[in-house]
Amino acid sequence: MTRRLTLLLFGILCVVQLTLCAHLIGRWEIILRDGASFTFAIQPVDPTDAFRGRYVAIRLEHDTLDIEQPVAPRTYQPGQTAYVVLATNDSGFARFDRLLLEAPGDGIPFLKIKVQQVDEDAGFLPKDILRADALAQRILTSTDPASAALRENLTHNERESITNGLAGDATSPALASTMASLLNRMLYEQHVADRLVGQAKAVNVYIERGRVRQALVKAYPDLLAPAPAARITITHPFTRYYMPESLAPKAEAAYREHSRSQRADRTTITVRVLRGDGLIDNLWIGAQPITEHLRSAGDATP
Amino acid sequence: MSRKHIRWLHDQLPVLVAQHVLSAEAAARVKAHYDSQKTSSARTIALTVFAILGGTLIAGGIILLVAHNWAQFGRPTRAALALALVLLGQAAAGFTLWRNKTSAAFREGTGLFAQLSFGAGFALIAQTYHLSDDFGSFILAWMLVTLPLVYLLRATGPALVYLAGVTCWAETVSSWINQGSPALWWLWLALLLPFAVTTMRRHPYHPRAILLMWGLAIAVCAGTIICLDSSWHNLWLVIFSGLFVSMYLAGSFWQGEGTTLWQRPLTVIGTAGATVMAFLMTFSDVWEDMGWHDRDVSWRSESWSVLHDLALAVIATVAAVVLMVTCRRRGQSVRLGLGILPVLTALGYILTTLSDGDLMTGACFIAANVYFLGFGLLTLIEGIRNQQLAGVNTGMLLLAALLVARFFNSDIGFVAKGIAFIVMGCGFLAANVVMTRRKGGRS
Repeated sequence: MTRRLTLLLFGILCVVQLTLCAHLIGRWEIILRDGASFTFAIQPVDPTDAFRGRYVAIRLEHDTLDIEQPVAPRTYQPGQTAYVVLATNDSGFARFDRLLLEAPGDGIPFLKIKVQQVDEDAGFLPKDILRADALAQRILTSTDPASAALRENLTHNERESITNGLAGDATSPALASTMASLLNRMLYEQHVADRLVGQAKAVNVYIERGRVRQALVKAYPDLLAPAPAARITITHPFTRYYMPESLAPKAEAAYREHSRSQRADRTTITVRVLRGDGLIDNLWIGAQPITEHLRSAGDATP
Repeated sequence: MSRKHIRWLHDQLPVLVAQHVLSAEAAARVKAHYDSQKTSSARTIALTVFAILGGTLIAGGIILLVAHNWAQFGRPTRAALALALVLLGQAAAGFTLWRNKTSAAFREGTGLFAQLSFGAGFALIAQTYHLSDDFGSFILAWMLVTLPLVYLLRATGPALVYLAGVTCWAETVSSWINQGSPALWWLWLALLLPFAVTTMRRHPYHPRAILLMWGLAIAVCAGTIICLDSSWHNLWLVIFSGLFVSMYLAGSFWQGEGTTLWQRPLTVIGTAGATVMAFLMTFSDVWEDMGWHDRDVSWRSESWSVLHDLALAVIATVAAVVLMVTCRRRGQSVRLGLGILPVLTALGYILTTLSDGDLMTGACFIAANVYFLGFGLLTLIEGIRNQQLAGVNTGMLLLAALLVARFFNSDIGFVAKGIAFIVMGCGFLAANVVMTRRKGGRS
């Protein structure tokens, strides 16, 4: 290869590299400037990414979509590209509203995502527990066959959690989470499954999980949401918030402290969404951005 | 000339002078000539290694200094710093090319610095905007965009980083969350092959070529493991038999005159791998659990991945056969016993898959043990014949491994084991008697 050709090719390579970097920067800056703003409620954790610095791992409170109407088999496949429309609920928090196989029209905020998991025998989420306190009371005290079967299989810790939940704030999300965990465990309990489904011989709970859930919803029609046709977990772009290495664990500690105090303000992220792309704008603890919260608490670096 | 040979020559020179084969002056000139070669070679290696370390450490140090003050920078400043890092790497590589530096130290050092700088800049941009793109996309983009540096600078360091990077990508993509196509790894590997072939053709025994071959051999083994779908039970035995024997034969072809094990990476890995495969096939479990009829539908089994494994098995076996024929035609000394392993494995796999009963399974099990026994014996005999201690020890080790494995095999009855061991022992003693009589006859 001649020297001239080498230099020419190297020049092209430099242009390609710089263009790639500039394109990424420009793309995200435009989204931050022009994108629609949404606020998601979150539950952060804190692992370490060896290649890209320390970050707070973001887990949205609701990162699944329920498909209520039955769809043709294999309509949604893991790894498939799809589009999720964003909407805002009554509390002002964003949620994933519906899943589409093609991009929606102009003016509708949406994200281009990948389907991670399609669960056609979905377990219970806290949002499926319509009245956690009433459900807890029924399980602990009622003599109906379903409640008796569940009560006999409670562990000591579960009984204590439910009792404490009822004694405290019965409307808190924590009690709904406890009941959801309990019901999910019961989906795999052979003895409970036999009695709920009403079969004389043993039911293979790993196959019959959907039927066990249906039986539970039938036993508590006013307290549990009906099972969706499919529950879809999606891969979305709001999973990491990078922070200086020393601050990431402090951010998580601050979040935990904030949660224990049970303040009305939630931990949230604000995001910007534009033409299917989205990124995190800021992480908030209550009404304060995370860095300001840590600074006011005396933990941020000057 | 290798250091071992230079040392041998130094030892021989006084003897040659004493026997009047060489004059004292000639011996001194010969010694001086090879001493300067040794020094020059050592100097070149030191310069290259220091350049690689220097480039890597400078890149790392700059990143750390920037990281210390990162929290104080706004988004535009961070983006500008990331771009500056990329530009710095490009400037270093550009300087080398502009000045047409032929020194390996310059090329390796600046090549690695440019490659790492781009990766760091790219990662910093992702971090600035809290991007959640998966690790696989990041590392693939980094490797592909910096691959041209390998060709432009003719640098081995960036080539090794590229091999590691695309192999990491394959591992990431093959996880259940991604459900991607790790088989594309073969395409990424193919992009580096022209560089590898050119480097080998120029100087097959140069340290950079040898290092590249080691990296390539290890990457191919790792990449094959990652890309396998494993729907066909134990088809990997056929695949790896073909792969390792192909490596062994390719090594004999290209680097057969290397004097040390370090200079023959393909031969070393190929021989070791093929021997391990042959040993694994001496276990009955392997033959009982073969074929399509015991297929598991794995979480990522799709038609392409099933075909991928089958294609790999066919290609590896055919490649081994073609290389074997080519080596024999060119009169190269290769071990036929090792060369036929892929064909025997493929044959055994087909017969076991097609048959229903235990008869074929048992026959393949016995054949595999006979093969390994013969392989060990031939290795031992060759070592004795050539008076090579390494060969003798290797042969003994292979036979010992087989004996221990079969001794503790609870599937074979005591009587059968006892008779087989006695017969083999008698065979060794008889061979001993024959060799002793022959030696006595000659003397």
